[in-house]
Amino acid sequence: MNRRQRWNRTERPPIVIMALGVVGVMFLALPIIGLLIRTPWSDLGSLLADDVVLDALQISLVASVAATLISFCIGVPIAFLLARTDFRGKSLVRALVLLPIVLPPVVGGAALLFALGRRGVVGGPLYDATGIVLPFSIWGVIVAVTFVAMPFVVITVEAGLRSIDGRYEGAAESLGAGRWTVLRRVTIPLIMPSLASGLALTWARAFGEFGATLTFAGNVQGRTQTMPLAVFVALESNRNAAIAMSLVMVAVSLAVLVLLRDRWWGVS
Amino acid sequence: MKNEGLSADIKVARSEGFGLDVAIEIASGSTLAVLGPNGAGKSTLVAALVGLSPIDEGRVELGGVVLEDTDQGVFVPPAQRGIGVMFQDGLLFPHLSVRDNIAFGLRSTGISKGDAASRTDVWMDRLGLTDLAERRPAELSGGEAQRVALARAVVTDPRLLILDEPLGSLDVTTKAHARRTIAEFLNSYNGPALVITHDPTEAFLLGDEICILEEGLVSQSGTAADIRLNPQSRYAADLAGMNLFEGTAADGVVDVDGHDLYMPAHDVSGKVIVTFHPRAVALHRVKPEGSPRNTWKTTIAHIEPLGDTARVATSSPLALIAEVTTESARSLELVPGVAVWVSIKATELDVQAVSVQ
Repeated sequence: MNRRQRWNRTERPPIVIMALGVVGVMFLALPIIGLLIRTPWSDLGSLLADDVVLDALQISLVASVAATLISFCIGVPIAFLLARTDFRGKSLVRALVLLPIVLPPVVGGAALLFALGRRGVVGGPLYDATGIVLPFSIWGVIVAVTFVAMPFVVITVEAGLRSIDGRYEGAAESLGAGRWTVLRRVTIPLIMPSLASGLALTWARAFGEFGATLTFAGNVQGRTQTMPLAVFVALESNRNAAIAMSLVMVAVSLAVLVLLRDRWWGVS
Repeated sequence: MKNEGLSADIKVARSEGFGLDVAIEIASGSTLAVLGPNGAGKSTLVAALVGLSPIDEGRVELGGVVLEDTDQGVFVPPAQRGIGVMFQDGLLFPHLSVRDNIAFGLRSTGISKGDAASRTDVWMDRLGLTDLAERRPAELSGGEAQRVALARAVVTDPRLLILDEPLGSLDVTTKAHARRTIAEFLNSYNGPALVITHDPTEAFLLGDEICILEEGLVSQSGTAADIRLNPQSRYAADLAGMNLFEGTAADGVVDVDGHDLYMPAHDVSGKVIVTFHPRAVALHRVKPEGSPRNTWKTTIAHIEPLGDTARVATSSPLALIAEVTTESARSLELVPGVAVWVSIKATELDVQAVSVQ
C-alpha cells in the first residue's frame, strides 16, 4: 500500500547481529526472571497488605502522577520555547533542561535542599512567609521527582515539534483558527505520539526515582517513603517484602508502558 | 470592479537569491493563473497573500478591505483574511476525518455545530465525498484528497480563493477528472480566484488570464492566447509558448476544426486537448519524405525573432507556431507569404482527455 514499503528490506540481518540481539534480550530479561523465581507467591497477599507497602505505593503513585501533570504544565511549554522561539541564552536553557538527566540524583536532591530547604535560598523566605516546609513532606517528594523526571518530556516534545510540518498550522490559521485553536486542534494532535511517549518516560522516571527523593524529602514511612525507598529499606530487614514490592513496581510499569504503546505508538 | 476583487502589490526580500516583486489584480468572478517554474517565488506569493509571511513593502486589498499595507502599518492576520486556500500537497489534517477537515474552517470561526454540519454536508454531497465522510486523509486516493482540499477551502465562502498547484500530486488519469471538477467550480465561483501552477496546460485551461512569474518578477501577463502565440521571453516561450488545440479524438485521430491530427496512441477518445511544442514542428520548402504522418501544406503568416531562434506562425488549415533556428529560417528563406510544408511527428503530440467518457 505504502509506496515506500516496496523498498523496505525485510530480510534477516546477519546471524551475528541476531545472536547479539538475543544476548541483549536475555540480559534485560534475566533480572525479571530472577525476581519471579525468588517471589514467595504464597505469602504475596499478606506481604503486600502491609501498611508500609500500601503507604509507599500510594505516595509513589501520587507523586509520579503529580510530577507528570506538572511536567505537562511547565515542561511542555519549555519544549515550545526551545522549538519555536529564538532568544539569547537558548543553549544555556537547553543545557539546564538536560542537567537533571546527567546529574547524579543525589546531587540534584542536595541542590534542591540548598534552594528549597527550610534554610534554603527560596525555602527560607517561603517558610517565614507561609510556614510551608517542602522537605520531609509529600510536596518535597513531588518536587524531587519532578526535577529529575521532567527533562524527558521536554526533549521528546521538542523533537516532536521540530519534526511536524509547520504548514499544517499555517493552513489552520488561513481557515480562521486563532492561536489557541491551532494549538488545541492541530499542533497538539500532531505531536501526540511524542507527547504521549514523553509523558510516559517522565512518569516512569518519576515512579522509579530514588536518590533525589531520599536526599531532599527523606525516608519517612507514610509521608515521604516511596516504593523504591521502601524496597531499599526492606532489602536490609525483610527480603521477601522487598521482592514483593519490586514485583509490584515491575507490574505497574509494564502495564503503563503496554497501555501507552497500544494507544499511541500505533502497533498495527 | 476593482473594489470587488483582489489588488496586490507585493515586495518580499528573500535572504538568499532573488526577491519577489509582483503586482496583480483579479476581478471578481475571474481567475488568474500564475505560471512559473520551481523557485520562481510562487510559494512566497501565496504565503504573502494569505498573511503567513509578512511582506516587506506593498499593499494587499481584497473586496475593498485593506489586508496589509506596509506604509500604513496595516496587517490583518491570516485567520481574519477570509482567503480560502487549497494548499500544495493538500495539507489535510492527518488526524481528522474528511468531515472534520472540511468543517474545520467553519468550527474555527465559531459557527454552531449544526450549521457547520449542514454546510459541510452540502459540499461533501456536491463533490461526491459523502461516502468518505468518516475516513482519514491517509485512506483517500489522490483525487479524493484533492476534492476534500477543495471543499475545505471553499466551505467558508472565502472572498478570495487560492489554488496552489491543485493538480500537482495527481497521476495523469485522475488529473483530467480533477481538472474538470476545479474548472466547473471556478465557473460557478463569483469571487476572484488565483491558480498557482508550473503546468502550462493547467494554466491555460483554468485561468482567464495568465501571469508568468520568473525569478520573482512578472515577465508577462495576458490571456492564454497572448502568451501562447507571443511569448515575451525565452523562458515564457519554453514554458508556455505551446501550440494548443481542442479537438475530438477517435481511433487514433484528433479532429481539430475539421483537420485531422494523428495521435501517438489510440488510448484516448472524446474531447481532448492537444499540445505540442513549437520546436516539434518542422518546416520544409518541399514535401518531406519519410515518416511524419502529420504533414500538410500552408503559408507563413509572420515571423518573430526570439534570441537565436525564430517563431514562425503559419496560416490555415491549422494555424500554429513553429520554432526554428534563425540560421535555418534564413536558409529556408522563410518570409511571410511563402508556401511551406509543415510536419509534426505523432509522438511529439501530448493528447489529454478533457473529460473521462
